[in-house]
Amino acid sequence: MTTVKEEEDIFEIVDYTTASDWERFIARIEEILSEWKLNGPETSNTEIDFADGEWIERNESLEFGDRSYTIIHFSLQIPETTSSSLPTENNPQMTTSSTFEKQTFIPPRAMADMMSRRNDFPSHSPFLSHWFGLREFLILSPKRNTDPIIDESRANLLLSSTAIAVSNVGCNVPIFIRVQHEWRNIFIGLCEGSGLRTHFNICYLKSAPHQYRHLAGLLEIFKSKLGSQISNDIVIMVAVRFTYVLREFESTSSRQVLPQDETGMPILTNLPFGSLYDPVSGLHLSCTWPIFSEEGVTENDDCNDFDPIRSQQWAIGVTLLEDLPVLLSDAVQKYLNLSTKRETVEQLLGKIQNVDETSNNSMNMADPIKRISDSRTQQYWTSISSSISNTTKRLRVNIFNPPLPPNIVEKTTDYLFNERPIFERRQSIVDELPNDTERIRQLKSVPKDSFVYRLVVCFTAICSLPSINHLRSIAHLWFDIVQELRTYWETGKLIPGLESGSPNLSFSKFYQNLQMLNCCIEHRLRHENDTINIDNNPMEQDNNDDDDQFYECSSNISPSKSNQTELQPDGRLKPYGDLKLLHTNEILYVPITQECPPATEDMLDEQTTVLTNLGFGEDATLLRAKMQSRSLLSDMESFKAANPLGTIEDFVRWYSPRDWIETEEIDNDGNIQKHYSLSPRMQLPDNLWVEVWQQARPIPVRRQKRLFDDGKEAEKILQKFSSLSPGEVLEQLIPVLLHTIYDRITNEIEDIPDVLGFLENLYAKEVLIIKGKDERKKKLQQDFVECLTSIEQYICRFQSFKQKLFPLDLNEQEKEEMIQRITELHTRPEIPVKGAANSRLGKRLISIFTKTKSSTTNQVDNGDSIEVKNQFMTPAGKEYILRASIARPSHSRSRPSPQRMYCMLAQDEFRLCGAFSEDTTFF
Amino acid sequence: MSTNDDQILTTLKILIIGESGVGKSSLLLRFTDDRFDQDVAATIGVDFKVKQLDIDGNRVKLAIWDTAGQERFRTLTPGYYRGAQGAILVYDVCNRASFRQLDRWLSELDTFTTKTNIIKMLVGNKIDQEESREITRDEGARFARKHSMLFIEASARTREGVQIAFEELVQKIIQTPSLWENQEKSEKTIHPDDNDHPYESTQGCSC
Repeated sequence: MTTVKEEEDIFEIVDYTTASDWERFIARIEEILSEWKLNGPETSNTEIDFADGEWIERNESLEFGDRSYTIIHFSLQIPETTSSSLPTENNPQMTTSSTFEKQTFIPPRAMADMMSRRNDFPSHSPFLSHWFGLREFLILSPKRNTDPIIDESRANLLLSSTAIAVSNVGCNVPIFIRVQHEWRNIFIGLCEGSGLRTHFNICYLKSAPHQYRHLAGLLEIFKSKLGSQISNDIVIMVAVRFTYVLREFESTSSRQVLPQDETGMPILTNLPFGSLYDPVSGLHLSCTWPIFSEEGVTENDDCNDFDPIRSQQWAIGVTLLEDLPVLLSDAVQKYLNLSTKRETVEQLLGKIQNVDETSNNSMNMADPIKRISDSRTQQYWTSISSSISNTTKRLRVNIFNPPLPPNIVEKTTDYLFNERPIFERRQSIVDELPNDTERIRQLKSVPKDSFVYRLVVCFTAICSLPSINHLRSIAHLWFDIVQELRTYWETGKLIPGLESGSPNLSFSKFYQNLQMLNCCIEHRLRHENDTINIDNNPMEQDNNDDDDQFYECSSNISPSKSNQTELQPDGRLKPYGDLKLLHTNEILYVPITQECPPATEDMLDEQTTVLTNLGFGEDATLLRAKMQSRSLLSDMESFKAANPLGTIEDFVRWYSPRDWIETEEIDNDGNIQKHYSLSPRMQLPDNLWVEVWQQARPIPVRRQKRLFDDGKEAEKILQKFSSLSPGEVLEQLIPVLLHTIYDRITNEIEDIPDVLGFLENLYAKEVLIIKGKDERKKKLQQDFVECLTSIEQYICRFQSFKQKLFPLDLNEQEKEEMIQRITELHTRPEIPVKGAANSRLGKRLISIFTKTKSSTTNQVDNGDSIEVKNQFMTPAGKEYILRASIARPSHSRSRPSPQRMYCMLAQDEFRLCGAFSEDTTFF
Repeated sequence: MSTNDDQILTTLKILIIGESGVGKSSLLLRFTDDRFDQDVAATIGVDFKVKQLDIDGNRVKLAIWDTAGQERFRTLTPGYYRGAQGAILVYDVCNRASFRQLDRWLSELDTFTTKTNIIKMLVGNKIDQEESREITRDEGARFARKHSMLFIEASARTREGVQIAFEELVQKIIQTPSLWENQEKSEKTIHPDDNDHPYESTQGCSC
């Protein structure tokens, strides 16, 4: 081997050209260690709690000959504030480490950590940290799994190389070499510093030899490892932890079942929520005995002093089901997926026949194949329904192979059309629940529990049903609902669960259309009475043959008739104050007028488009005025009918009083003379008001053309509904879906902390979907579903924890504590149980962990119940840490150095992790 | 669409409301065409005019909706309030009744507008007829303060205060981005010129 400093000649040239792979390997390690600034003593030696920190990793690759390796640096990053403030008194194990530190020298931090009892059995540390109590270490491992370090000489070469590198740069961080196959997790390692060296070795077996399955056996191993140096006054300190694991829970009550009625049929009137699975798949309890000397306790073949109930340190942790499937989120996801589908009802359900047809088509019914082929060529059912739209009885239909059982559909429609008090107008809701109202307005949803709200609940519930065709089922229900709506229109029954009055434009357009349908129904009912009255009047029996769009009223009154009407005032509402007609001194009557036709947003949009398309000029203004003068004309005609001798001046006095100008003049005699005249703008010759007045004939309101054509509007809406594909219906109702979800989560969240954070976040995402651009919609929806899923999962877990671990009768303070515990269970792998077995939670845990045992024991041997009662199940894992400070290699000359062995006994793992140190200076 | 559409920051909808005969249409005519017509006819239903305005270097398109003030039209006109970002409430300084009715107009506005933070401006019109004034400037200002409105007195006849009234209102709206940002989709149908989106197609996505 050539050494690096061979040529110290006059030219001071150093020749590295002949450096070997080995030298380069060492140089590379040194380089990496220097780069990571590990080439010196550690900056801080204070004790820390591993649980407070965050493990960070960094790695570099390096070569040794033609083999590639990776070196990884693990270190625990502690937030500044928590590291020093923690009390250390309550930890009795401190004594050993502090006596150790009182020696005249300061050992490397790793060695101090090994002896510190503060972080025995850390709950979420990397293996090596867990086994050796380290907060920082390096691992050198082959880059590829296919190249494990199997032969001993290769392992030793690597270890000695790293040893050289480590001592060259003065690195005090332990370094490990991964040997054997990766799954075995076997390492060898060393740590150097302050003239001490620690060797790390791991032994792994699938099962423990019988004699080593308890403390006594393990102490034997430990002592034999230390060999002759062990003297009688040396005390071996022991820490023990037993872990009990529960995989299955007896109580399954936290599992949700889809709502069903007594016959086992699904109920669709509630949004699904929760999970069919228990979100907690496992629970473990660890009982720790933190410090005692080997003499204090016995555990051998015959005797076991480790009673978990007497342990003062308990901790629990849960294993959560990953990707817990949750009902609401899944249903919402399905809903959103279906909302992009555009298959029509006909395409989904096949041809729908009404019962009257079936008698004629019984042949078809008997021959399904023919029927299917027919359906392709037949006209859509929408045209069928419109052709029979005048029938008053409900359309009976046969759906070929109906996706939903008929009684479910019936029950669901009953729920939707269930009689409820008419909703109040929005103003009153504003006062009661301003936030709710603002949310509804923002989402453009509908009032809670209204018809449309319930409809969305049903659709979403369908989406949560297993093993059915969701879109077909929704088509089925939707088809039935449209039929029912038609029946309501035809039989003059008001649709329940809607606000009365004209469509409320702050709600969903879908809802507005239903409100409009109700307006039509109401309007028809009101004016049917009028018609009956008119029918009694023989004079009115003329032309109502042609345009059935309009009401049964005569628009072409012959001159002779109009003369009659002039004499007979008609359609008077009340006198207008004490005003008299200008020319005749008769009382001026306010006429009965037509109400303003209700309009949905869609209709207003349509009208707006028409108006705006006229342009911006003065002509356009005039045209717009003309188009909107229908109601003015109607009012003028009513006025003329009520006041046959009235003039336009009289009309203006009632209709637009500010255009009736009063002027005062003092005449020659000094008396005040009042003059009245129409305002200049009303006197303009081509004024539209005058024009319309001249056009107007005296017709009382009940014989006028209706400004509002209920038949036409109702038919328009029903047609629109029946032409919508189920996917379009779902899409239009997405805002309502978001609203129902919000309400459902609000309900479920109850006492769960961080309520506002959840709900606000959810709501913000909902608003984004509503306001977001179309092209981003999909992404936003996805984002929303993810958010919803995590909230729903969280709530499920919360409820499961609560139900498993806490009694119902908690007082306020206990409740608060519970919430804190549960929150910690989410975020930490393990949380301490204060008061261990004596606390309330502890008692609960005892019952959980012994109940299982007793039940299994009883099955096996029917053993006596007294003994079984307090017996815990057998621990799934037992861990031991044995420690001593012993002078090695020379008992007399060497300084005492840390010796430690970690042992783990589990069902299929027996692992010994030894860290044995010696003095490299004095031996 | 006009050719310089791409330079337009946004299109705003502004309402003009108030009792009949207070001069709503005259104010609008003065603003859009800079003229005054003694004999502008009483509005039937609603009318509107369009004007572009440059505010702080941004070009803004205004669709200003003029409404009839008569009692009987009050069931008809509020349907067109939706989506407005600003509203001008007009009263006649020479007519106390028109001032008294302002409360009613305000509550109607609150009921029928869809935006919660719509900017409101109070305009006292006809200050050219100083001799028959019934409402002092101070009274108007107090009302505006009470209801958090912008306030100005104006005369459509002399053009005093008209331009500035509209400009102030628009500026205030522009300073409230939540009013006009992100409106492209949901308010499409209420803007003039947007007739390339028939009503069936918008119905599906913006209900």
